[in-house]
Amino acid sequence: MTPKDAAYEALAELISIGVGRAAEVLNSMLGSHVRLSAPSLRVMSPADLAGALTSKGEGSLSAVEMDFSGEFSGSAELVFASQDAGKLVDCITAGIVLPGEEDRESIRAGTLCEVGNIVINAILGTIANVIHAELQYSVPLYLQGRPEALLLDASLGAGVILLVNTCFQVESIEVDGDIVVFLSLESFGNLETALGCFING
Amino acid sequence: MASEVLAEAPILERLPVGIFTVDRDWLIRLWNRTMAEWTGIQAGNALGKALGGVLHHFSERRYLSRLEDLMEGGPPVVFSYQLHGELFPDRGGRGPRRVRYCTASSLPGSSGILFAVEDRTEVVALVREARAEVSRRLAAEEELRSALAAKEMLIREASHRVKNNLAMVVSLISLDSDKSQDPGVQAILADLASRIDSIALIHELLYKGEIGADVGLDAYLEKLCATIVGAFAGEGLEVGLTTRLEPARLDLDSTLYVGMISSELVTNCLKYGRMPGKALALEVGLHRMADGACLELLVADNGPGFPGGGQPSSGSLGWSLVTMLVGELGGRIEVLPGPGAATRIHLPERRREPLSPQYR
Repeated sequence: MTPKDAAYEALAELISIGVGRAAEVLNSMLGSHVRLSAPSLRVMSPADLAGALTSKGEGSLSAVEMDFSGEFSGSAELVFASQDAGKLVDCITAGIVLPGEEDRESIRAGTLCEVGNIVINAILGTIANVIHAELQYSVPLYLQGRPEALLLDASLGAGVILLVNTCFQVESIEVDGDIVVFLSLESFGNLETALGCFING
Repeated sequence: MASEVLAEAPILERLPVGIFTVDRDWLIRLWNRTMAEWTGIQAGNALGKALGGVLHHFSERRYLSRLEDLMEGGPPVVFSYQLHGELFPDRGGRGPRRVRYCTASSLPGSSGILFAVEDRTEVVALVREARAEVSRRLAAEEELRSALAAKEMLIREASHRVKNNLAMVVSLISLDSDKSQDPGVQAILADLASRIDSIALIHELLYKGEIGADVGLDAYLEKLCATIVGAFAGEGLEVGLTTRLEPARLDLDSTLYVGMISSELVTNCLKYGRMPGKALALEVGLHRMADGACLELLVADNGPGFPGGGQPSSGSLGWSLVTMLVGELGGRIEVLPGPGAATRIHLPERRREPLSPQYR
């Protein structure tokens, strides 16, 4: 196994641990049984991203984005097809009665922002903890729009994409979500090096 | 460090966002004026107290477990309204419940946690109103579309009936014409039938789909000329018809008037343009003038021209009708020099005044 292969394996393992942690936090926070399927990781160029998203539907996408900077910099997005995002939020918040006449769509966006925050934090937090990276993070941002518009900003300057697919299972519904991590070539190199150091102790 | 944040307290005090901080021992170190106003918990009752003692939900394990990473510089944590509506007490508790979102971030040097509470009640209400307005407008649009479709159907139906009734009138005129032995009476009745036919034709176009406030004048004239020439061809007259019609749209009334003018001029050519041993060539043109505001209608033949080589007879009913209708449309007539009879009508593309009631 080459050092690069080993780094890839380690990254996939850390992401898997992060997704597991995310499921734990979601379950504890929501008091409902949320399962996240074993994630699959792919490393690709930005040009291949649009065709590789599993969350893409006919309409718009909903995403939660967080930027990070430090030893490696970039941004991470949790992406759903908007229709699926609505179903997911409705399912995990079933039984929560809104007290007033609040706009359900806005409230849904806020809830999805928290779900994205939990998932991205768990993955980035796990990676950063293990390789002892000190990162600064932006607050999470909810985005909704057409795929090309939604992914364009984050893609600018990115040389490598880490695409993680996982399936959210709540009650009887299953919703595909993509975690997209945008990294510059330099940041990806730094991450590989840090993972190499971690593997070699 | 927490002390740096505290040094910024005068600024944080005035922010329209609820701000509070805790140190590494979970003790509240900053509680701004907005937090006091929103929760009814004064700074004196919060500062130096344990977070879970002031905001009770934060003593629960599920909240602490998410916040603990922040003490080590972990990523920001959000608490959304739908999942954590009871996180902050509401002062007084009257009126609609406030929609508040909370973001917790690590303080520099992992010296504690900064909480920012944002009130989005008004934004959410505005979004709700905007959505309701969009829904209302969509419903109104749908209603209008349905009403328009129903109106179009009625226009088609009415036009169909008018066309059929006019066709019946033409048939009755033909029957009466057949009974008469007087060629003068027959000619008058034939002209009358032709004029009614030109009116019937526009109704045919209407029920076949040319619906709208404006009607395609070029399509109407094309069909009108072909119909009139076809009727004369039935009488054994050989006619070479050339039409050069640029696309133009006029309101229904104006289109009808231009049709009647064209019908008179074309019929005149067919009647008086024949010369022995020479095929009749008839040209009908419709052009938009360079200024874009005027249309030019041309009807010309290769016949002997107007009687006496001059102007058409002002005493004839057909020419009187043409003069009257052109005047009504605000246009003007130009009789062109021969050979043949050639008339050019200049028409404003948009009528300025409504047509006189007697012509409607």
